[in-house]
Amino acid sequence: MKILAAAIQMPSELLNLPTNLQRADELLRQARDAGAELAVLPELFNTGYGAGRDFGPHGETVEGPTLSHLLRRARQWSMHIAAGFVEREGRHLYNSLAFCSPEGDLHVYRKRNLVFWERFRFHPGREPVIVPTRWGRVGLAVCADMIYKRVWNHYRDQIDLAVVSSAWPEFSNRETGKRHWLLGHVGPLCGDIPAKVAQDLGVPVVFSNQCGETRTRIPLLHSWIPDRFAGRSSICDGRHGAPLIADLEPTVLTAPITIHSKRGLKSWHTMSPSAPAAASSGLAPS
Amino acid sequence: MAYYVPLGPRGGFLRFGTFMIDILGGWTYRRASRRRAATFANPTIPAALLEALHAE
Repeated sequence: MKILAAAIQMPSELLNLPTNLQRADELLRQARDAGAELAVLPELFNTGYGAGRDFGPHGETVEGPTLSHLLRRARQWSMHIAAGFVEREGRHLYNSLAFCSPEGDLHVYRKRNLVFWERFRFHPGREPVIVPTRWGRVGLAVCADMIYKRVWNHYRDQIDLAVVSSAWPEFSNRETGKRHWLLGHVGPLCGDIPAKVAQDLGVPVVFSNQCGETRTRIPLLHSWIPDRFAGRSSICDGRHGAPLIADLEPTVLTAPITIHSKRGLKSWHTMSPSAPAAASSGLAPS
Repeated sequence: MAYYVPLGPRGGFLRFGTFMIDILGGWTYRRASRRRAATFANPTIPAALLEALHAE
């Protein structure tokens, strides 16, 4: 089965929800106009990604403005939308990825592998999340998750499509172009890993990254890099053809992907912790 | 903890750094989360923007 997927590459302003939401909506509209059935927004697209103040006041539940809007758009435009946001549950904050379906279902994956300053700001998630859709099972991951072998081993033979939402920096000084001595070789990997996953697991991968300027803080080393996000969002069609890769600019990358649904919709998929909350709220389909 | 892609000698630094960050970051996070109120309100967006977003 072929569907058109969109990887949305956009910059986000730190802690500026209205601007980021409006910007994302315009790009989602472009994806819809192109005929995309799946659109993926970057990690923390609504709050921006960066070490700074406490994200507490900017965290949302599934009833918050970000997910309410995305669920409405998913229904209106008959599109599946995946988007990274700051999730708040009581005192805890999570770096989460929501997956909204046109039927009004909502699944939330919480990033498990927190890196750099993230561990100072977020609580790690514990479980992989596989979402059943009408075209197959979708495995969710956020940014640095994709560098760890166990993440993909959890999903191996369990998914038909992988979605990765990211805010992956280049780890090189944007003024001098010089790579960071330790992390400089990690930055370019974001352009390679999605294609490797697609080849290895034999499933399409839709990878959406932020673009634009940022400052990367390296904890313990007490250093800052005047950095930029690595962009290079990509759509890799499993074993079919070469991946389509964006450059560093904001863009809506669209490409067809081939989904070989092996087992159809099964009941063994992992439900996210927020799914029951969504089902019991007004967000669930009536 | 195994990496999906080989990171060479930097992998050792990253493993050690991640381990230390897990301890220090976890401790800092726990202190911050205890100070945070358990009940809270979701952030809001301006009514004009909400109306514009709802337009279609």
